[in-house]
Amino acid sequence: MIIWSTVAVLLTLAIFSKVFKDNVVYKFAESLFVGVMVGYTVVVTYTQIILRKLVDPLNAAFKAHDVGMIIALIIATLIGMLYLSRFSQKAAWVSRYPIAITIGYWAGYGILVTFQSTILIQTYSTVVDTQTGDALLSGAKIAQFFKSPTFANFMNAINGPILVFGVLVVLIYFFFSFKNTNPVIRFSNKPALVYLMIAFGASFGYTFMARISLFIGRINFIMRDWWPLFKKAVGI
Amino acid sequence: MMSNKPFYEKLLSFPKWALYIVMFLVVLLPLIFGWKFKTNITPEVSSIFDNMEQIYKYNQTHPNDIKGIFLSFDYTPSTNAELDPMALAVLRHAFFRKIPVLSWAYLPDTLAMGERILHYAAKEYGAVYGKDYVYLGYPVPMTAGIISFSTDIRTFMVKDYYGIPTKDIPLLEKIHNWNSIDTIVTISGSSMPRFWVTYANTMYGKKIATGTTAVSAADFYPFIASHQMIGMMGGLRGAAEYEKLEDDLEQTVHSSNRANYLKTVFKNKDLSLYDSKYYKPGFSEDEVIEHVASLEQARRGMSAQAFAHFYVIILIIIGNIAFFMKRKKEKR
Repeated sequence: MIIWSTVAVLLTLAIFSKVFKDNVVYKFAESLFVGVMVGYTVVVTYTQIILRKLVDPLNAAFKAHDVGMIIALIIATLIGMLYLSRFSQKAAWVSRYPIAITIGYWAGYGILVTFQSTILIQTYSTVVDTQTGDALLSGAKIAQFFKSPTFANFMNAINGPILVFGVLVVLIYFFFSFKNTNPVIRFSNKPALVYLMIAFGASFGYTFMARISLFIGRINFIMRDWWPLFKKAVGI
Repeated sequence: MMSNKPFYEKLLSFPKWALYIVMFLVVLLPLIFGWKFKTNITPEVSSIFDNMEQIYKYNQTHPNDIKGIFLSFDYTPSTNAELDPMALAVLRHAFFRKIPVLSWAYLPDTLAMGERILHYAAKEYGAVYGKDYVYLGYPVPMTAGIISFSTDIRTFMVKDYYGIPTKDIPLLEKIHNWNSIDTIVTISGSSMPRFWVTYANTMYGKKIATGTTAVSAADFYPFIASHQMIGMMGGLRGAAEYEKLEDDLEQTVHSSNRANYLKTVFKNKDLSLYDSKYYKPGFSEDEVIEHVASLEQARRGMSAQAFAHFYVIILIIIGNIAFFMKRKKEKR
């Protein structure tokens, strides 16, 4: 246990050594990681896909004399094996058949639902609260704020207009078919930039948090998992 | 020898390695001294927690029609620092409330990791493999798996991760399609939650709860606003929030002494139900310490996170001051 934990700590430090400059220790750790990942993926692919999805069902089909299933599995395997033609420059064109089948499957399966989930529902929820059915651009909400000027009512009143206005100006910002002299495009440029900068700022903050979390994870491992084992092993 | 470079030039050419060393200390010190910050709960996280509680209440009142959750490990070890605590917190909540858990790992390099986390959490509650939870392994292609869930997942995943025929697993007798799965929890370091929204939410109307890395979190807020997702745990902060909610809930039952609870989990249980292939029932002293420490691994990280953020804010301010000083000088 302590040996492998110590190996993990040493590899962590080897990767961190790149902070100072690229070096042999870092290169070794990087290559080791890639090698282990490839080896592991090959084993998993064999045990979880080739055995589970091909060898086991084929065995079962042979035992049950299920000719239809045997033919289906063999045809699917042969089509899949056409991918291997990529290794030969001469025969590489054959791999287009399985690629065509895969793309056809994904396109047919995905186009409608993707359009529905990322365009239709998203567009709808830009103007309507999908849970309550209330319009986001609502004069009643603004009137409610003037009737009872609380912070909650204020937020309720401006939330919808901010969202709708933001979506519109950012869409216009990325609409390149008109010249920049067009008054609508000129007017929307600045506010669109503000919206975009806020979005980028949020993304940057989150990205920084993610990177630090990875570092914290490694430090946590060294301090919480490895250090107690090391202390025990050396009898501190 | 003193350099003649102006002050702002010195600031702008400060060696990177020195900044990294300070960052190293800024992260390390809060962890060494155990400094903690208060964890505030955001609505995106509490909505996932509340949804789990609703499943628990439903199962209490409908013992013949219980609902489970489906947890998909959609991340690789490179993001486990952020995502392991989320997966653990959600699983602890499910096992604590005796909500059945079905799970799989979408990526090959996640298989062993998902297996470890699943059993790690299950052991804390004495959950039995096959009765309380199942690990289906590696679904290829995943869309076919999602379609199969609309009828019976056992036709697509003929065997579980361990090679046991899924027709022989008792839990899958009760829970084998979307009708009996209330919520899908996707723990992901990539755009997989979008995939789940597209296929499971849009096609089958399933509730999607997401645990994601901070890098990806900003991309998923539109799906929360449109209620295509019921909530999101974003980065280590999201993990810390769920961890706190779950910990607070359990403290009402186990008081604050979780170590004592762990030592007695298997006291009155039939040990013949447990196969050591999944985990060995019982906790050694070292394991108790490790499990108790893991209860607040995200929250512990948040103090280091906060200090690192303060440090970067200070660097950004200093960098900007130096930049504006330089620009002013150049204009003259």
